[in-house]
Amino acid sequence: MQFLESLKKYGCNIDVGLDRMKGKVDFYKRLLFKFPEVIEENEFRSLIESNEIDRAIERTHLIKGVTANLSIDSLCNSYTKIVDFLRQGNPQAALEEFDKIENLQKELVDFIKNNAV
Amino acid sequence: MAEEKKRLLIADDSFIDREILHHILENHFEITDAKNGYEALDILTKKEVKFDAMLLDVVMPLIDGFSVLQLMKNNGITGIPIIMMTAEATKENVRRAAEFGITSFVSKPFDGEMVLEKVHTLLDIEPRNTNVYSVPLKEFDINDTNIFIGRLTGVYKDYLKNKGVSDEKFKRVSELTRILMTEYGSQFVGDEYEPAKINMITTAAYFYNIGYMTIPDRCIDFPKKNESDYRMFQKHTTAGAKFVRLNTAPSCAYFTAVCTDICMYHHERADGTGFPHQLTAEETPIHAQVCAFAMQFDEIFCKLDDFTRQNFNIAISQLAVDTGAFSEEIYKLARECKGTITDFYINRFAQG
Repeated sequence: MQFLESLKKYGCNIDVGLDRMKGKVDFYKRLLFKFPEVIEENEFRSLIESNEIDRAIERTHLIKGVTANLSIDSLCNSYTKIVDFLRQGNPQAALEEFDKIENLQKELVDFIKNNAV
Repeated sequence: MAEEKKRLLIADDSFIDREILHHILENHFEITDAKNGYEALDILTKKEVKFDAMLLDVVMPLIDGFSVLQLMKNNGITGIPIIMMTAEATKENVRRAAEFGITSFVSKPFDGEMVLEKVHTLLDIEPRNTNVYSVPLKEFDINDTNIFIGRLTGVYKDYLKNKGVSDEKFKRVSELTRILMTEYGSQFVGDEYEPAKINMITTAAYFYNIGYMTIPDRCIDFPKKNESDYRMFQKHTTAGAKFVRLNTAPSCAYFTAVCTDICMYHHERADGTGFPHQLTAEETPIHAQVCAFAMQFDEIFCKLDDFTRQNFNIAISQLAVDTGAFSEEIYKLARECKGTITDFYINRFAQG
């Protein structure tokens, strides 16, 4: 439970997340341990830099859905904006929004990886 | 012997989302996963397994959910009830899904109860038996149906009596449905709205809330105490339809079809935001739309001082405030029946 509690400082709404998993701590943790893979498979910045906007939309949309389901609210809110900016044809604004969460995301991914069983 | 689980196909590119869906659904259904749209199409094309329903993500890499639907259509893969999954149930998504006859969505993040409810509701739908609408009724069918109606009325009246509920409102809704459907039917030539069928639609309207028999009283009372009670309340529609459908006699097919429609769809709205299936006016049978209008009109009209034509207009105006509840076709029909409707209410209440 300590692992989950620690996630709160990264903007994770653990209570809501656990509720979604019907209180099953191990199941929730198992999914959270998969989260770094989702992020690492979908390098946002490089997709924007190589102008792969459609693919960037698909991948950020996926992350938006996953963060919503895992109740990682801090990232979910930003990815919601990023998807909207990309759909509006404004990758620059999307990148600026990504800049705001990049460090937090990296810290969260590192923390999860360090605690993964 | 345990009942065999129904089979679901889940098409979603997110491993985590698929895992959560498994967690929600695996105790109730046999689940097969597809990691993307092409994999889903491949599984469906092989036809090794017959799926009872599919949950299909809208946004996926390689091929999105709508393209999957198009390819399914092109390849003659039909008859699978589908729920679309999306973080954005936008009007555009709803419209595009409706083009493929899909009206059911679940949103992300998943609400476990809601997902389960939606899948169960979707699987409750049996194809509507629309063939019976145009077949002329035979005397034997009418007699047999009347016997069934007599039994159904007995059961329903016993229930209402035990609950201390008058059936006066149901009778008024029933008669109002007769007035409106008679006017509607007068515009058609042929057997579709012959008098015997109008009589059956009229009688069917009396039973619109028969599904109340299957849900706890606390879920019927307004306002609802919590979300769970509201969901249970919504179930009275599908439960009523199931109850009527228990009669599978071919001689009663017309009545059971229209009564099922009325029980199932009397809370649908023209704009597609009603329940249980979010059908639009174009998708909802006219007799169910008429019954829905009758029950709401009656609620408002009976609260006004007297049954004048002016108050009729006021009642219609009040209903129209809730834009999207009924189509313009229904309002037009009601206005055409203004005199008949006001006379009906005056006589009904004069009789006490």
